[in-house]
Amino acid sequence: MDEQVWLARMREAEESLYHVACAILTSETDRRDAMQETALRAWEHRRSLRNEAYFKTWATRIAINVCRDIMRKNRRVMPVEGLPERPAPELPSELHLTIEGLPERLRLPLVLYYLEGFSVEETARALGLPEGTVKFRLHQARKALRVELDGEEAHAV
Amino acid sequence: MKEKELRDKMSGLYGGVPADTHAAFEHALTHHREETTQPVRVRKMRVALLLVALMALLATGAYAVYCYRYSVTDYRGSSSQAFLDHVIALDETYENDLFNMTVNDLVFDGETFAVTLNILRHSEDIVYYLHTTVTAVCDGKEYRLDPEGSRGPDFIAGGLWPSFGRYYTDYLQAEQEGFGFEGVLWDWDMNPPPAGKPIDWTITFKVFRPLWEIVADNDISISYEERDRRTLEAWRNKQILVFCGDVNGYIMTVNNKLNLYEHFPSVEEEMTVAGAFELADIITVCFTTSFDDDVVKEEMAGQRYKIGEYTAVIDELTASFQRVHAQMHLDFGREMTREELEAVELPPFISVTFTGDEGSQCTERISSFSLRGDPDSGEAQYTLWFSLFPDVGNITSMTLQGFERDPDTGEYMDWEDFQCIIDIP
Repeated sequence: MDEQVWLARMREAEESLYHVACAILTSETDRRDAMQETALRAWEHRRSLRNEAYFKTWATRIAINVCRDIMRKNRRVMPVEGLPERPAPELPSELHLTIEGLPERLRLPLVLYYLEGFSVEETARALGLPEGTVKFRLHQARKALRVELDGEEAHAV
Repeated sequence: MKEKELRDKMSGLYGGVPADTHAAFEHALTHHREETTQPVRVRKMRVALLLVALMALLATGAYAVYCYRYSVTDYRGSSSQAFLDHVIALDETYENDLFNMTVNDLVFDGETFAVTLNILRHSEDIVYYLHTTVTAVCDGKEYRLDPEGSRGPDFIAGGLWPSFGRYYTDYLQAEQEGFGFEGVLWDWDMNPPPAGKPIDWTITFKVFRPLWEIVADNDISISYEERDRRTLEAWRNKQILVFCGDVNGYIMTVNNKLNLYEHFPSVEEEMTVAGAFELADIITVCFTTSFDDDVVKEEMAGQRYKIGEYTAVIDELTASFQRVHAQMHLDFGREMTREELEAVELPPFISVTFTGDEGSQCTERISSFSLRGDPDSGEAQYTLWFSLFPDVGNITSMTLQGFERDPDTGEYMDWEDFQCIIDIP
């Protein structure tokens, strides 16, 4: 892949990758580190990406692995220095409390599917899970958020 | 709320990329690491040396037979008397031609469950796939464990041991130390079992033996199309491809290719249909627990506490010897406009100090109340939520204290008036 094309695709994916980092990591410092490491790893492995159509899910998978590597190194009790350094953004956030309170195994599929627009298959590939597991976790997340399926999407998930 | 509304409302969930983070990302895009192959070569050399050492040990018949009995007290890092009083020792031992397994002990507080075990392979070259389910029956109703974490093999989705991922050699030490997993027990509607009634548990381990050569592929940068191609090529060559420590993708891809079942296949069907695995053993662990009501729930809902100029109202509080889960909101005593709410000054952080009946204390620091919309009424309110594991035994009180950090010195400064003490019966 041409470097300029790679740069353009990474810049297009920046906000999406940041959202993935937010879904896994609570510290802005960690998210910043994750974004840097994701960019570095994605460059190192750029030649192996043969189909540019899968660029976003490929980069997302790298970001998820980076974030989990960082999380494994963190202690369970987060020091104050690790707490978010900016206030939560104002958003239609009647859901924000419940979403942030979901365990990662539910929050991450929720973010990928509903926020980033991944399909179930893309979500499963990004997370390395069977599609059935992704569907079940989305179901659990919807139950926690008291979300009803839209009629037109009831058969898709 | 419908899904479309959820999508719309999530569109601003995390906001934009902060300037510092954007700058760091942009810098990394254009300033690449050099000599990235060096660490990989060093890691491969270390793996090679370790495998040589292990093979030498195997040749001398000195494969380790000792392993530390891993307890839930280790898994949780808990030592309070209340926690110890709720640890249930099972010490169930099983042996097959692949490994020795001991299911050591468990802890359950009516909702959250953790169990620990030791699994020691008979020799270093043995590989197995483990699938775990935990079900329970209480008062004639079935419950399932919703897994939240694990240590060791993938108890959540099922997986190989060793995992053959990039860092799988790190797991070799863990095998000597012990494994564990945890989760929340609830029914399809996410309700825990009723308190005060016996619960009949069944932990089922389905053990599969790989019949073909295992090939590890840790290239995370390939496309999914390429991954599928490599997977099917491996299957045609009678090889099991483990991609970045994940064998479930191989199983799923091959099953999709074969497309033999119209029904949702069982674990046995999924694992064996492609010919790569065979069912080696099914280990069933059955036991019964009776649970006293140590969990405070509905009786605290609605309780009010003055904090600063405002009132904190408890929406939900679950407190056991193992875990505290709380949700509360601020009541300002009158209706407030959105603009007024956004102008409210609150400390950015809250310290929560838990006091237990054994006289010990533990403090955790969390983010402060933040403005959310109530799911039912749609009105905005300041809400605090946390789920923590303080090791103080049975909790008798929580003290909430607002604080901030001095941006120059980094010192913590309490908001003196922003405090409340919640006694827990």
